[in-house]
Amino acid sequence: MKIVVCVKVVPVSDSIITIIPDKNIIDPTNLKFDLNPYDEYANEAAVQLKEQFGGEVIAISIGPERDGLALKRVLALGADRLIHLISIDQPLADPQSVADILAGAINPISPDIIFCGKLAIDTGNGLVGPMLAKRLDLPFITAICEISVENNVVKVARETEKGREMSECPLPCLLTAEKGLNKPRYPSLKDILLSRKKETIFQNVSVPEKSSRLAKLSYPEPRPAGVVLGNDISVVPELLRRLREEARVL
Amino acid sequence: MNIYTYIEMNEGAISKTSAGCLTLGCQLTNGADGKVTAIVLINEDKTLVAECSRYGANRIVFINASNTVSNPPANPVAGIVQFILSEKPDIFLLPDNPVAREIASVLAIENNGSVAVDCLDVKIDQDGRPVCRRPVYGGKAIADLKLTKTPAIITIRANSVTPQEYIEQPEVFYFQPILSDPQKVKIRGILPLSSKRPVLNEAKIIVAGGRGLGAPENFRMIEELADALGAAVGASRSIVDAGWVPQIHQVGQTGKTVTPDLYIACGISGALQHIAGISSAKCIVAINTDPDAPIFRIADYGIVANLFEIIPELIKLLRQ
Repeated sequence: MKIVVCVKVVPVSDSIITIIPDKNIIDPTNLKFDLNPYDEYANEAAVQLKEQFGGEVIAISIGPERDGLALKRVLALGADRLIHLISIDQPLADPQSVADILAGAINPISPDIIFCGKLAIDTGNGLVGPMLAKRLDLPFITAICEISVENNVVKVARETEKGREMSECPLPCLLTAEKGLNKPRYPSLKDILLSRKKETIFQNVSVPEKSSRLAKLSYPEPRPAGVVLGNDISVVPELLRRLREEARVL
Repeated sequence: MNIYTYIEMNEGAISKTSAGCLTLGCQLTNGADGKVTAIVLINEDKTLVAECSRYGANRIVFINASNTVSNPPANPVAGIVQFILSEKPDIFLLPDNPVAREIASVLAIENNGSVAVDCLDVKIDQDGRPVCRRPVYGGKAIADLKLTKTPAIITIRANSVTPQEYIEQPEVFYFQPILSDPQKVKIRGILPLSSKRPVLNEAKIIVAGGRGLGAPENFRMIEELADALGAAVGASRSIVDAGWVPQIHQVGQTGKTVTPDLYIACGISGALQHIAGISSAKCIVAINTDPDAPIFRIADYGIVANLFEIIPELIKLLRQ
């Protein structure tokens, strides 16, 4: 089974974001970058399927050279090789361009399954996966939390507002991973050493602002300071009064 | 400018975010020669016509759902995509949710359009193009995205546009999609949610718990307070990762970003990624024993006390 997993390197979720003035980009200095958390579930699912059926896991990523360090982790976590499409630093790039470039790189591989994370925590979009599927003319299912493959049919489950939805789809297809799909492994020292021998292909790409342009990046309005009402149960009636009369939310 | 809005149903009525999309559509066409078309994925319904017109729809299109869905129902992507492809709107607004994002992705590729999801607001710039304001980095920054291709497909975050009434006399149309290809993705079934509580996405009130609860069984207290308020339940990342509550309840950058009127954080210290996910709530209440917990910096009302004393008292007073 040939499996492609699309990953992105993002600032970790507890990062403090600083915007470079007059440039629509965040300051990468002092930020810790790592694999997008949802992509770790995607990669683990890919590696588990490879362990079950044999085959190969190819990780692919678009991002600046700086991402190289975090991307090495995907090899330690079980991917067999890595394609790093090197672009300038534009984390909020146009999703259609990203999908187009990924489609161009993945098409010659003809994978049985493509895994993506549900979304990247920097853009918060969740668009590239379905767009990539559309570009490659593959069926897709998003935000899966359970997976099994049998006779070239993938069976998955996902949590929707109506409840747990079970669906199936023939291979080849694209799936995006929700948190909790599996427990991503910790690489052993041996995994890390072995990963150094794995192949990484570098290729320069440019990601044009094809259909959308980032006009401005700014900070959200700060919330006005609140009040501490007290420190015991005697303030509970006062809290309820304020919620009803002052904030008018009850 | 012709604006189309997708109307989502919530227990037989149009959802608040759908009404907000209609309002936004009216604001964007205001003064200009354009129409607001409401798209509903059911057979004709008189009350719906009235509701859509109340929020300013000039046209209402019922997409015949009976032939677009299998049994059990498949997602509504195909029928809507086909309709939009046949109509060529300037802007297509949808209430944001996972299905809306799938529709947006598919439409953008098939129509060569632009897309922005989870938007707080949309304005038209001097070039006549929509500029969408949306949170990025889990709400720690705001991006203004200019959509350069038509149609501009935009999903709107719940509770970000207040619905306003613009009475209109709408024309009613019908659309029958032709679906020749069998869908490759087959839905085998849905296990309905056991809980009758509202979902996080559109909830007016959310009661959320964190590490301060001490043990998984104490999450029941959060649920009890939620039920006394008719609220949804939320959870911090740490207790979801610890397996106390299912992932669907997680609030924050790797969970759900929420926009309720009232968010009650109980025993949640307020990690950056959590705070980012709740900062557009109208009112935040924090209950925590640690006066230095970061949650107090963004809370409108704070109580520095043990949640095991405060929550039962709250429940008692609310039930009186």
